[in-house]
Amino acid sequence: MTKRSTVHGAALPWVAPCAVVLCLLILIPAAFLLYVSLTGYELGFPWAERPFVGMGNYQELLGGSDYEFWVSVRRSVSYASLVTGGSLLLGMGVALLLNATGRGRTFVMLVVIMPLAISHAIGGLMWKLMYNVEFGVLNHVFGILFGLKVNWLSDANALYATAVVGVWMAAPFVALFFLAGLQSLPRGPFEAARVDGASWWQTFRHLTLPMLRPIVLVVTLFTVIDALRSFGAIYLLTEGGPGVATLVLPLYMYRTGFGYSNILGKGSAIAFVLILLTMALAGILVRMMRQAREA
Amino acid sequence: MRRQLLAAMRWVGLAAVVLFFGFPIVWMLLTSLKERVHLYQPGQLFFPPTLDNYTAALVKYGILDYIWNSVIVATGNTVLSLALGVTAAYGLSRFAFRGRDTVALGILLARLFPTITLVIPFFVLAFLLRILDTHFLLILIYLTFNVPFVVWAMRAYFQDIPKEIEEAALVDGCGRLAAFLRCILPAARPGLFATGVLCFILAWNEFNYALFLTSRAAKTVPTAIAFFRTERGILWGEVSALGVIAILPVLVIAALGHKVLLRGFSVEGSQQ
Repeated sequence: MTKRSTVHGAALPWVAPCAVVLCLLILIPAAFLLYVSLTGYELGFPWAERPFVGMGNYQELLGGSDYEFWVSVRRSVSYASLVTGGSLLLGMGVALLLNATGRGRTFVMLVVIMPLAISHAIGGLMWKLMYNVEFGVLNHVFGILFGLKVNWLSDANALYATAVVGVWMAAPFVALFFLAGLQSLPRGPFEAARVDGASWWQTFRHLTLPMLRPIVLVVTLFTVIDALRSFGAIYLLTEGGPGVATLVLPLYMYRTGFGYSNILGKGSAIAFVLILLTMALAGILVRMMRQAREA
Repeated sequence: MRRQLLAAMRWVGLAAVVLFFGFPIVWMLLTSLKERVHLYQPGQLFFPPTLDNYTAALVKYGILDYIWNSVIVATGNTVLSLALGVTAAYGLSRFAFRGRDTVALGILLARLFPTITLVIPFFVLAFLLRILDTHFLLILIYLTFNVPFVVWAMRAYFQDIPKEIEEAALVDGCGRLAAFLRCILPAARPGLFATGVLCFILAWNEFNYALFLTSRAAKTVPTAIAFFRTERGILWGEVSALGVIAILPVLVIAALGHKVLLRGFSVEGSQQ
Protein backbone atom coordinates (compact mmCIF):
# COMPACT_ATOMS: atom_id res chain seq x y z
CA MET A 1 0.00 0.00 0.00
CA THR A 2 1.02 3.55 -0.66
CA LYS A 3 1.91 5.81 2.21
CA ARG A 4 -0.97 7.28 4.16
CA SER A 5 -0.01 10.92 3.69
CA THR A 6 0.27 10.80 -0.10
CA VAL A 7 -3.00 8.96 -0.39
CA HIS A 8 -4.66 11.56 1.79
CA GLY A 9 -4.26 14.20 -0.89
CA ALA A 10 -5.38 11.77 -3.56
CA ALA A 11 -8.68 11.04 -1.81
CA LEU A 12 -9.63 14.68 -1.44
CA PRO A 13 -11.05 15.34 -4.94
CA TRP A 14 -13.15 12.17 -4.70
CA VAL A 15 -14.69 12.76 -1.31
CA ALA A 16 -14.67 16.53 -0.85
CA PRO A 17 -17.48 17.57 -3.25
CA CYS A 18 -19.92 15.18 -1.63
CA ALA A 19 -18.88 16.11 1.90
CA VAL A 20 -19.10 19.84 1.19
CA VAL A 21 -22.51 19.63 -0.48
CA LEU A 22 -23.95 17.54 2.36
CA CYS A 23 -22.55 19.90 4.99
CA LEU A 24 -24.02 22.90 3.21
CA LEU A 25 -27.39 21.24 2.70
CA ILE A 26 -27.82 19.75 6.16
CA LEU A 27 -25.69 21.67 8.65
CA ILE A 28 -26.67 25.16 7.45
CA PRO A 29 -30.44 24.50 7.52
CA ALA A 30 -30.03 22.69 10.85
CA ALA A 31 -28.17 25.68 12.31
CA PHE A 32 -30.79 27.99 10.85
CA LEU A 33 -33.50 25.79 12.36
CA LEU A 34 -31.82 26.14 15.76
CA TYR A 35 -31.80 29.90 15.31
CA VAL A 36 -35.46 30.09 14.26
CA SER A 37 -36.33 27.95 17.30
CA LEU A 38 -34.91 30.71 19.48
CA THR A 39 -37.29 33.27 17.96
CA GLY A 40 -41.02 33.76 18.00
CA TYR A 41 -41.15 34.06 14.20
CA GLU A 42 -44.65 33.67 12.80
CA LEU A 43 -45.48 32.99 9.18
CA GLY A 44 -47.08 36.02 7.51
CA PHE A 45 -45.14 38.54 9.55
CA PRO A 46 -42.08 40.24 8.05
CA TRP A 47 -38.90 38.30 8.77
CA ALA A 48 -37.26 41.46 10.14
CA GLU A 49 -39.84 41.72 12.91
CA ARG A 50 -39.14 38.35 14.51
CA PRO A 51 -38.78 38.62 18.30
CA PHE A 52 -35.81 36.84 19.86
CA VAL A 53 -37.09 34.72 22.74
CA GLY A 54 -34.00 32.70 23.70
CA MET A 55 -34.96 29.42 25.32
CA GLY A 56 -38.57 30.57 25.59
CA ASN A 57 -39.96 28.04 23.13
CA TYR A 58 -38.09 25.20 24.81
CA GLN A 59 -39.24 26.28 28.27
CA GLU A 60 -42.81 26.30 27.02
CA LEU A 61 -42.44 22.82 25.51
CA LEU A 62 -40.44 21.08 28.21
CA GLY A 63 -41.78 23.01 31.19
CA GLY A 64 -45.09 21.19 31.14
CA SER A 65 -47.28 24.15 30.24
CA ASP A 66 -47.70 22.69 26.75
CA TYR A 67 -49.93 19.68 27.23
CA GLU A 68 -49.82 18.64 23.58
CA PHE A 69 -46.03 18.43 23.45
CA TRP A 70 -45.76 15.65 26.02
CA VAL A 71 -48.70 13.90 24.42
CA SER A 72 -46.87 14.00 21.10
CA VAL A 73 -43.68 12.64 22.68
CA ARG A 74 -45.70 9.74 24.10
CA ARG A 75 -47.43 9.18 20.75
CA SER A 76 -44.09 9.14 18.95
CA VAL A 77 -42.67 6.59 21.39
CA SER A 78 -45.80 4.40 21.08
CA TYR A 79 -45.92 4.67 17.30
CA ALA A 80 -42.20 3.91 16.90
CA SER A 81 -42.43 0.96 19.31
CA LEU A 82 -45.47 -0.52 17.57
CA VAL A 83 -44.01 -0.09 14.10
CA THR A 84 -40.62 -1.46 15.10
CA GLY A 85 -42.01 -4.41 17.03
CA GLY A 86 -44.44 -5.27 14.26
CA SER A 87 -41.90 -4.85 11.48
CA LEU A 88 -39.30 -6.98 13.23
CA LEU A 89 -41.72 -9.84 13.91
CA LEU A 90 -43.30 -9.72 10.47
CA GLY A 91 -39.97 -9.07 8.72
CA MET A 92 -38.37 -12.03 10.48
CA GLY A 93 -41.36 -14.22 9.64
CA VAL A 94 -41.25 -13.23 5.98
CA ALA A 95 -37.49 -13.73 5.81
CA LEU A 96 -37.71 -17.21 7.39
CA LEU A 97 -40.56 -18.15 5.04
CA LEU A 98 -38.71 -16.90 1.98
CA ASN A 99 -35.48 -18.56 3.07
CA ALA A 100 -37.29 -21.91 3.17
CA THR A 101 -39.05 -21.35 -0.16
CA GLY A 102 -37.61 -22.41 -3.47
CA ARG A 103 -40.10 -21.99 -6.28
CA GLY A 104 -42.01 -18.70 -6.27
CA ARG A 105 -39.55 -16.89 -4.02
CA THR A 106 -38.84 -14.12 -6.50
CA PHE A 107 -42.55 -13.52 -7.02
CA VAL A 108 -43.26 -13.27 -3.29
CA MET A 109 -40.26 -10.98 -2.82
CA LEU A 110 -41.49 -8.68 -5.58
CA VAL A 111 -44.90 -8.45 -3.92
CA VAL A 112 -43.36 -7.87 -0.50
CA ILE A 113 -41.30 -4.90 -1.72
CA MET A 114 -44.27 -3.28 -3.48
CA PRO A 115 -44.92 -0.85 -0.60
CA LEU A 116 -41.41 0.49 -1.17
CA ALA A 117 -42.40 1.49 -4.68
CA ILE A 118 -45.21 3.79 -3.65
CA SER A 119 -45.14 7.23 -2.10
CA HIS A 120 -45.95 7.10 1.62
CA ALA A 121 -48.61 9.72 1.06
CA ILE A 122 -50.44 7.71 -1.58
CA GLY A 123 -50.00 4.52 0.44
CA GLY A 124 -51.53 6.25 3.45
CA LEU A 125 -54.47 7.40 1.39
CA MET A 126 -55.10 3.90 0.04
CA TRP A 127 -55.24 2.54 3.58
CA LYS A 128 -57.62 5.33 4.51
CA LEU A 129 -59.93 4.07 1.75
CA MET A 130 -59.66 0.50 3.02
CA TYR A 131 -60.24 1.64 6.62
CA ASN A 132 -63.41 3.57 5.73
CA VAL A 133 -66.22 2.66 8.10
CA GLU A 134 -69.04 2.65 5.53
CA PHE A 135 -67.49 1.50 2.25
CA GLY A 136 -64.02 0.30 3.23
CA VAL A 137 -63.08 -3.19 2.10
CA LEU A 138 -61.85 -4.14 5.59
CA ASN A 139 -65.24 -3.58 7.18
CA HIS A 140 -66.86 -5.38 4.25
CA VAL A 141 -64.78 -8.49 4.99
CA PHE A 142 -65.21 -8.10 8.75
CA GLY A 143 -68.95 -7.76 8.23
CA ILE A 144 -69.11 -11.04 6.35
CA LEU A 145 -66.79 -12.94 8.68
CA PHE A 146 -67.76 -11.60 12.09
CA GLY A 147 -70.74 -9.32 11.50
CA LEU A 148 -68.65 -6.46 12.85
CA LYS A 149 -68.34 -2.85 11.83
CA VAL A 150 -65.14 -1.39 13.24
CA ASN A 151 -64.31 2.30 13.37
CA TRP A 152 -60.64 1.80 12.51
CA LEU A 153 -59.61 5.43 12.77
CA SER A 154 -61.48 6.22 15.97
CA ASP A 155 -59.86 7.82 18.99
CA ALA A 156 -59.09 4.42 20.51
CA ASN A 157 -57.98 2.62 17.34
CA ALA A 158 -56.28 5.27 15.21
CA LEU A 159 -52.77 4.84 16.63
CA TYR A 160 -52.84 1.08 16.02
CA ALA A 161 -54.33 1.55 12.56
CA THR A 162 -51.61 4.01 11.55
CA ALA A 163 -48.98 1.70 13.04
CA VAL A 164 -50.26 -1.12 10.80
CA VAL A 165 -49.66 1.14 7.81
CA GLY A 166 -46.24 1.96 9.27
CA VAL A 167 -45.47 -1.77 9.44
CA TRP A 168 -46.69 -2.19 5.87
CA MET A 169 -44.13 0.41 4.79
CA ALA A 170 -41.22 -0.60 7.04
CA ALA A 171 -41.42 -4.41 7.13
CA PRO A 172 -40.28 -4.95 3.50
CA PHE A 173 -36.86 -3.46 4.20
CA VAL A 174 -36.60 -5.39 7.46
CA ALA A 175 -37.48 -8.62 5.64
CA LEU A 176 -34.86 -7.98 2.95
CA PHE A 177 -32.18 -7.24 5.54
CA PHE A 178 -33.01 -10.39 7.51
CA LEU A 179 -33.17 -12.52 4.37
CA ALA A 180 -29.73 -11.28 3.32
CA GLY A 181 -28.53 -12.06 6.84
CA LEU A 182 -30.04 -15.57 6.84
CA GLN A 183 -28.46 -16.37 3.50
CA SER A 184 -25.04 -15.31 4.69
CA LEU A 185 -25.08 -17.67 7.70
CA PRO A 186 -22.70 -20.66 7.57
CA ARG A 187 -24.30 -24.05 6.85
CA GLY A 188 -22.24 -26.18 9.19
CA PRO A 189 -23.85 -25.46 12.58
CA PHE A 190 -27.35 -25.99 11.14
CA GLU A 191 -26.47 -29.40 9.75
CA ALA A 192 -24.89 -30.33 13.06
CA ALA A 193 -28.08 -29.26 14.84
CA ARG A 194 -30.20 -31.36 12.49
CA VAL A 195 -28.01 -34.41 13.02
CA ASP A 196 -28.40 -33.86 16.77
CA GLY A 197 -32.18 -33.85 16.32
CA ALA A 198 -32.77 -30.25 17.40
CA SER A 199 -36.30 -28.97 16.85
CA TRP A 200 -37.05 -26.03 14.56
CA TRP A 201 -37.62 -23.74 17.51
CA GLN A 202 -34.44 -24.85 19.29
CA THR A 203 -32.43 -24.21 16.13
CA PHE A 204 -33.99 -20.81 15.69
CA ARG A 205 -33.67 -19.82 19.34
CA HIS A 206 -30.11 -21.04 19.96
CA LEU A 207 -28.48 -20.81 16.51
CA THR A 208 -30.22 -18.46 14.08
CA LEU A 209 -31.13 -15.67 16.47
CA PRO A 210 -27.75 -15.40 18.23
CA MET A 211 -25.95 -15.38 14.88
CA LEU A 212 -28.28 -12.70 13.52
CA ARG A 213 -28.03 -10.62 16.71
CA PRO A 214 -25.86 -7.82 15.24
CA ILE A 215 -28.21 -7.45 12.25
CA VAL A 216 -31.29 -7.51 14.48
CA LEU A 217 -29.94 -4.74 16.71
CA VAL A 218 -28.93 -2.52 13.82
CA VAL A 219 -32.19 -3.05 11.93
CA THR A 220 -34.12 -2.28 15.12
CA LEU A 221 -32.49 1.11 15.50
CA PHE A 222 -32.83 1.92 11.80
CA THR A 223 -36.54 1.16 12.01
CA VAL A 224 -37.04 3.17 15.21
CA ILE A 225 -35.28 6.20 13.74
CA ASP A 226 -37.25 5.90 10.52
CA ALA A 227 -40.55 5.54 12.38
CA LEU A 228 -39.83 8.62 14.48
CA ARG A 229 -39.62 10.79 11.37
CA SER A 230 -42.66 9.38 9.50
CA PHE A 231 -45.00 12.07 8.38
CA GLY A 232 -46.61 11.56 4.97
CA ALA A 233 -48.76 8.49 5.65
CA ILE A 234 -50.01 9.73 9.05
CA TYR A 235 -50.69 13.16 7.62
CA LEU A 236 -53.01 11.67 5.02
CA LEU A 237 -54.56 9.02 7.24
CA THR A 238 -55.49 11.12 10.25
CA GLU A 239 -53.63 14.47 10.20
CA GLY A 240 -52.63 13.58 13.76
CA GLY A 241 -56.21 13.09 14.87
CA PRO A 242 -58.84 12.42 15.87
CA GLY A 243 -57.93 15.07 18.43
CA VAL A 244 -54.43 14.15 19.49
CA ALA A 245 -54.77 10.38 19.02
CA THR A 246 -51.99 10.11 16.40
CA LEU A 247 -50.22 13.41 17.04
CA VAL A 248 -46.61 12.19 16.71
CA LEU A 249 -43.82 14.79 16.88
CA PRO A 250 -43.59 15.55 13.13
CA LEU A 251 -47.37 16.04 13.03
CA TYR A 252 -47.25 18.32 16.06
CA MET A 253 -44.50 20.30 14.35
CA TYR A 254 -46.70 20.55 11.27
CA ARG A 255 -49.75 21.69 13.26
CA THR A 256 -47.77 24.34 15.11
CA GLY A 257 -45.85 25.64 12.11
CA PHE A 258 -48.21 25.28 9.17
CA GLY A 259 -51.52 23.69 10.08
CA TYR A 260 -53.48 25.07 13.03
CA SER A 261 -51.11 27.96 13.73
CA ASN A 262 -48.21 29.49 11.87
CA ILE A 263 -45.73 29.83 14.70
CA LEU A 264 -42.60 28.65 12.91
CA GLY A 265 -40.43 29.55 15.91
CA LYS A 266 -42.10 27.03 18.20
CA GLY A 267 -42.46 24.53 15.33
CA SER A 268 -38.68 24.73 14.90
CA ALA A 269 -38.15 23.99 18.58
CA ILE A 270 -40.29 20.85 18.24
CA ALA A 271 -38.25 19.87 15.18
CA PHE A 272 -35.02 20.37 17.07
CA VAL A 273 -36.17 18.13 19.90
CA LEU A 274 -36.81 15.44 17.28
CA ILE A 275 -33.30 15.94 15.85
CA LEU A 276 -31.73 15.56 19.31
CA LEU A 277 -33.78 12.43 19.99
CA THR A 278 -32.77 10.91 16.65
CA MET A 279 -29.12 11.75 17.04
CA ALA A 280 -29.04 10.18 20.52
CA LEU A 281 -30.44 6.97 19.04
CA ALA A 282 -28.02 7.24 16.10
CA GLY A 283 -25.16 7.46 18.60
CA ILE A 284 -26.21 4.14 20.12
CA LEU A 285 -26.54 2.67 16.64
CA VAL A 286 -23.04 3.74 15.62
CA ARG A 287 -21.54 2.25 18.78
CA MET A 288 -23.34 -1.03 18.13
CA MET A 289 -22.19 -1.15 14.51
CA ARG A 290 -18.57 -0.60 15.65
CA GLN A 291 -18.86 -3.39 18.22
CA ALA A 292 -20.38 -5.69 15.60
CA ARG A 293 -17.49 -4.98 13.24
CA GLU A 294 -14.87 -5.60 15.93
CA ALA A 295 -16.49 -8.78 17.18
CA MET B 1 -47.62 -36.30 7.18
CA ARG B 2 -45.78 -33.85 9.43
CA ARG B 3 -43.79 -32.60 6.46
CA GLN B 4 -46.92 -32.09 4.41
CA LEU B 5 -48.48 -30.17 7.26
CA LEU B 6 -45.41 -27.94 7.50
CA ALA B 7 -45.45 -27.34 3.75
CA ALA B 8 -49.13 -26.45 3.87
CA MET B 9 -48.52 -24.04 6.73
CA ARG B 10 -45.72 -22.43 4.73
CA TRP B 11 -48.00 -21.90 1.76
CA VAL B 12 -50.69 -20.38 3.97
CA GLY B 13 -48.06 -18.08 5.45
CA LEU B 14 -46.80 -17.04 2.03
CA ALA B 15 -50.36 -16.38 0.86
CA ALA B 16 -51.00 -14.18 3.91
CA VAL B 17 -47.76 -12.28 3.25
CA VAL B 18 -48.67 -11.71 -0.39
CA LEU B 19 -52.15 -10.57 0.63
CA PHE B 20 -50.95 -8.10 3.27
CA PHE B 21 -48.26 -6.44 1.16
CA GLY B 22 -49.87 -6.67 -2.25
CA PHE B 23 -53.55 -6.13 -1.60
CA PRO B 24 -53.55 -2.36 -1.01
CA ILE B 25 -51.91 -1.83 -4.40
CA VAL B 26 -54.32 -4.20 -6.14
CA TRP B 27 -57.22 -2.46 -4.41
CA MET B 28 -55.93 0.89 -5.63
CA LEU B 29 -55.84 -0.45 -9.20
CA LEU B 30 -59.40 -1.81 -8.90
CA THR B 31 -60.68 1.43 -7.37
CA SER B 32 -59.11 3.48 -10.14
CA LEU B 33 -61.14 1.51 -12.71
CA LYS B 34 -64.48 1.92 -10.96
CA GLU B 35 -67.29 4.26 -11.83
CA ARG B 36 -68.57 6.42 -9.01
CA VAL B 37 -71.56 4.15 -8.29
CA HIS B 38 -69.29 1.15 -7.74
CA LEU B 39 -66.83 3.00 -5.50
CA TYR B 40 -69.07 2.58 -2.50
CA GLN B 41 -69.68 -1.14 -3.02
CA PRO B 42 -66.48 -2.85 -1.95
CA GLY B 43 -68.08 -6.28 -2.30
CA GLN B 44 -68.60 -5.93 -6.02
CA LEU B 45 -65.46 -7.45 -7.49
CA PHE B 46 -66.80 -7.60 -11.04
CA PHE B 47 -67.81 -4.30 -12.56
CA PRO B 48 -67.60 -2.67 -15.98
CA PRO B 49 -64.19 -1.00 -15.90
CA THR B 50 -63.85 2.62 -16.93
CA LEU B 51 -60.92 4.90 -17.67
CA ASP B 52 -62.88 8.02 -16.67
CA ASN B 53 -60.83 8.50 -13.53
CA TYR B 54 -57.64 8.55 -15.56
CA THR B 55 -58.88 11.07 -18.09
CA ALA B 56 -60.25 13.23 -15.28
CA ALA B 57 -56.92 13.12 -13.42
CA LEU B 58 -54.81 13.74 -16.51
CA VAL B 59 -56.96 16.31 -18.31
CA LYS B 60 -59.30 17.98 -15.84
CA TYR B 61 -56.79 18.21 -13.00
CA GLY B 62 -53.72 18.70 -15.21
CA ILE B 63 -51.67 15.88 -13.75
CA LEU B 64 -49.58 15.78 -16.94
CA ASP B 65 -47.80 18.96 -15.84
CA TYR B 66 -47.01 17.42 -12.48
CA ILE B 67 -45.73 14.24 -14.09
CA TRP B 68 -43.38 16.41 -16.11
CA ASN B 69 -42.26 18.23 -12.94
CA SER B 70 -41.64 14.91 -11.22
CA VAL B 71 -39.62 13.65 -14.20
CA ILE B 72 -37.43 16.77 -14.22
CA VAL B 73 -36.87 16.76 -10.47
CA ALA B 74 -36.27 13.02 -10.12
CA THR B 75 -33.98 12.82 -13.16
CA GLY B 76 -31.97 15.92 -12.29
CA ASN B 77 -31.60 14.81 -8.71
CA THR B 78 -30.62 11.24 -9.64
CA VAL B 79 -27.88 12.43 -11.99
CA LEU B 80 -26.45 14.83 -9.39
CA SER B 81 -26.76 12.32 -6.54
CA LEU B 82 -24.91 9.67 -8.55
CA ALA B 83 -22.18 12.10 -9.60
CA LEU B 84 -21.53 13.22 -6.03
CA GLY B 85 -22.21 9.93 -4.28
CA VAL B 86 -20.43 7.46 -6.59
CA THR B 87 -17.17 9.41 -6.57
CA ALA B 88 -17.29 9.72 -2.78
CA ALA B 89 -18.07 6.02 -2.37
CA TYR B 90 -15.08 5.22 -4.58
CA GLY B 91 -12.84 7.52 -2.55
CA LEU B 92 -14.00 5.97 0.70
CA SER B 93 -13.54 2.40 -0.54
CA ARG B 94 -10.13 2.85 -2.18
CA PHE B 95 -8.08 5.33 -0.17
CA ALA B 96 -6.99 5.08 3.44
CA PHE B 97 -6.82 8.58 4.83
CA ARG B 98 -7.07 10.37 8.11
CA GLY B 99 -10.67 11.31 8.82
CA ARG B 100 -12.11 8.58 6.62
CA ASP B 101 -14.10 7.11 9.49
CA THR B 102 -15.39 10.57 10.34
CA VAL B 103 -16.59 11.14 6.78
CA ALA B 104 -18.24 7.72 6.68
CA LEU B 105 -19.88 8.42 10.04
CA GLY B 106 -21.09 11.81 8.85
CA ILE B 107 -22.68 10.22 5.79
CA LEU B 108 -24.41 7.60 7.93
CA LEU B 109 -25.75 10.31 10.24
CA ALA B 110 -26.95 12.27 7.21
CA ARG B 111 -28.87 9.19 6.14
CA LEU B 112 -30.51 8.86 9.52
CA PHE B 113 -31.27 12.56 9.83
CA PRO B 114 -34.99 13.30 10.30
CA THR B 115 -35.36 15.24 7.06
CA ILE B 116 -38.89 16.31 7.93
CA THR B 117 -37.41 18.69 10.51
CA LEU B 118 -35.65 20.68 7.78
CA VAL B 119 -38.95 21.62 6.17
CA ILE B 120 -39.15 24.83 8.22
CA PRO B 121 -35.60 26.16 7.63
CA PHE B 122 -35.72 25.22 3.94
CA PHE B 123 -39.07 26.94 3.67
CA VAL B 124 -37.85 30.16 5.29
CA LEU B 125 -34.50 30.14 3.46
CA ALA B 126 -36.12 29.46 0.08
CA PHE B 127 -38.69 32.14 0.82
CA LEU B 128 -35.97 34.68 1.62
CA LEU B 129 -33.96 33.63 -1.46
CA ARG B 130 -37.11 33.66 -3.61
CA ILE B 131 -36.62 30.13 -4.91
CA LEU B 132 -39.78 28.56 -3.45
CA ASP B 133 -41.75 26.45 -5.94
CA THR B 134 -38.86 25.78 -8.34
CA HIS B 135 -37.47 22.53 -9.76
CA PHE B 136 -34.02 23.69 -8.77
CA LEU B 137 -34.96 23.84 -5.08
CA LEU B 138 -36.33 20.29 -5.00
CA ILE B 139 -33.39 18.89 -7.00
CA LEU B 140 -31.04 20.47 -4.47
CA ILE B 141 -32.93 19.47 -1.34
CA TYR B 142 -33.44 15.85 -2.40
CA LEU B 143 -29.65 15.53 -2.37
CA THR B 144 -29.90 15.50 1.44
CA PHE B 145 -31.31 11.98 1.44
CA ASN B 146 -30.21 10.59 -1.93
CA VAL B 147 -26.48 11.35 -1.76
CA PRO B 148 -25.99 9.52 1.57
CA PHE B 149 -28.01 6.63 0.13
CA VAL B 150 -25.79 6.43 -2.99
CA VAL B 151 -22.56 6.56 -0.98
CA TRP B 152 -23.79 3.86 1.37
CA ALA B 153 -25.00 1.54 -1.39
CA MET B 154 -22.12 2.03 -3.85
CA ARG B 155 -19.42 1.53 -1.23
CA ALA B 156 -20.49 -2.08 -0.92
CA TYR B 157 -20.23 -2.59 -4.68
CA PHE B 158 -16.80 -1.00 -4.90
CA GLN B 159 -15.53 -3.11 -2.02
CA ASP B 160 -16.61 -6.19 -4.00
CA ILE B 161 -14.56 -5.17 -7.05
CA PRO B 162 -11.00 -6.47 -6.73
CA LYS B 163 -8.35 -3.77 -6.51
CA GLU B 164 -6.26 -5.65 -9.10
CA ILE B 165 -8.55 -4.42 -11.87
CA GLU B 166 -7.62 -0.80 -11.56
CA GLU B 167 -4.07 -1.53 -10.39
CA ALA B 168 -3.52 -3.20 -13.77
CA ALA B 169 -4.90 -0.12 -15.50
CA LEU B 170 -2.73 2.18 -13.37
CA VAL B 171 0.36 0.14 -14.25
CA ASP B 172 -0.56 0.45 -17.91
CA GLY B 173 -0.25 4.21 -17.55
CA CYS B 174 -3.87 5.18 -17.06
CA GLY B 175 -4.56 8.00 -14.63
CA ARG B 176 -6.70 7.34 -11.57
CA LEU B 177 -9.68 9.02 -13.24
CA ALA B 178 -9.29 7.05 -16.47
CA ALA B 179 -8.99 3.82 -14.50
CA PHE B 180 -12.15 4.73 -12.61
CA LEU B 181 -14.11 5.57 -15.75
CA ARG B 182 -12.90 2.70 -17.93
CA CYS B 183 -12.47 -0.14 -15.45
CA ILE B 184 -14.37 0.47 -12.24
CA LEU B 185 -17.60 2.01 -13.47
CA PRO B 186 -18.26 -0.70 -16.10
CA ALA B 187 -17.55 -3.38 -13.49
CA ALA B 188 -20.01 -1.73 -11.10
CA ARG B 189 -22.74 -1.32 -13.71
CA PRO B 190 -25.39 -3.52 -12.03
CA GLY B 191 -24.87 -1.66 -8.77
CA LEU B 192 -24.98 1.69 -10.53
CA PHE B 193 -28.23 0.75 -12.22
CA ALA B 194 -29.88 -0.48 -9.02
CA THR B 195 -28.71 2.52 -7.02
CA GLY B 196 -29.77 4.97 -9.72
CA VAL B 197 -33.21 3.40 -9.96
CA LEU B 198 -33.71 3.51 -6.20
CA CYS B 199 -32.57 7.14 -6.16
CA PHE B 200 -35.09 7.95 -8.85
CA ILE B 201 -37.86 6.17 -6.95
CA LEU B 202 -37.03 7.96 -3.69
CA ALA B 203 -37.11 11.34 -5.44
CA TRP B 204 -40.19 10.40 -7.47
CA ASN B 205 -42.12 9.44 -4.32
CA GLU B 206 -40.91 12.24 -2.06
CA PHE B 207 -43.83 13.98 -0.41
CA ASN B 208 -42.86 16.03 2.67
CA TYR B 209 -40.63 18.64 1.07
CA ALA B 210 -42.68 18.91 -2.10
CA LEU B 211 -45.84 19.48 -0.06
CA PHE B 212 -44.45 22.50 1.77
CA LEU B 213 -42.00 23.95 -0.75
CA THR B 214 -44.03 23.91 -3.97
CA SER B 215 -47.41 25.35 -4.82
CA ARG B 216 -47.95 25.32 -8.60
CA ALA B 217 -44.99 25.61 -10.92
CA ALA B 218 -42.94 22.75 -9.48
CA LYS B 219 -45.66 20.60 -7.86
CA THR B 220 -44.88 16.89 -8.11
CA VAL B 221 -47.18 13.89 -8.59
CA PRO B 222 -47.54 12.73 -4.94
CA THR B 223 -48.51 16.20 -3.75
CA ALA B 224 -51.19 16.45 -6.42
CA ILE B 225 -53.39 14.30 -4.16
CA ALA B 226 -54.23 17.57 -2.41
CA PHE B 227 -56.54 18.41 -5.36
CA PHE B 228 -58.64 15.36 -4.71
CA ARG B 229 -59.25 16.08 -1.04
CA THR B 230 -62.23 18.35 -1.47
CA GLU B 231 -64.78 19.72 0.95
CA ARG B 232 -67.22 17.07 -0.23
CA GLY B 233 -64.73 14.38 0.70
CA ILE B 234 -61.99 12.56 -1.11
CA LEU B 235 -62.43 11.77 -4.81
CA TRP B 236 -61.37 8.14 -4.42
CA GLY B 237 -61.53 7.16 -8.08
CA GLU B 238 -59.35 10.03 -9.25
CA VAL B 239 -56.92 9.66 -6.34
CA SER B 240 -56.51 5.96 -7.10
CA ALA B 241 -55.88 6.75 -10.76
CA LEU B 242 -53.21 9.22 -9.65
CA GLY B 243 -51.69 6.52 -7.41
CA VAL B 244 -51.56 4.05 -10.30
CA ILE B 245 -50.00 6.69 -12.55
CA ALA B 246 -47.44 7.45 -9.83
CA ILE B 247 -46.48 3.81 -9.32
CA LEU B 248 -46.45 2.90 -13.03
CA PRO B 249 -42.89 4.03 -13.89
CA VAL B 250 -41.61 2.26 -10.78
CA LEU B 251 -43.32 -1.00 -11.77
CA VAL B 252 -42.03 -0.74 -15.35
CA ILE B 253 -38.46 -0.26 -14.16
CA ALA B 254 -38.85 -3.05 -11.63
CA ALA B 255 -40.20 -5.43 -14.29
CA LEU B 256 -37.28 -4.60 -16.58
CA GLY B 257 -34.57 -5.16 -14.04
CA HIS B 258 -35.97 -6.88 -10.99
CA LYS B 259 -33.06 -9.30 -10.62
CA VAL B 260 -30.55 -6.47 -10.45
CA LEU B 261 -32.85 -4.51 -8.17
CA LEU B 262 -33.39 -7.34 -5.72
CA ARG B 263 -29.64 -7.82 -5.56
CA GLY B 264 -29.32 -4.10 -5.00
CA PHE B 265 -31.76 -4.23 -2.10
CA SER B 266 -29.91 -7.20 -0.65
CA VAL B 267 -26.51 -5.53 -0.90
CA GLU B 268 -27.97 -2.48 0.76
CA GLY B 269 -29.31 -4.77 3.46
CA SER B 270 -26.35 -7.04 3.94
CA GLN B 271 -23.95 -4.29 4.82
CA GLN B 272 -25.91 -2.92 7.69
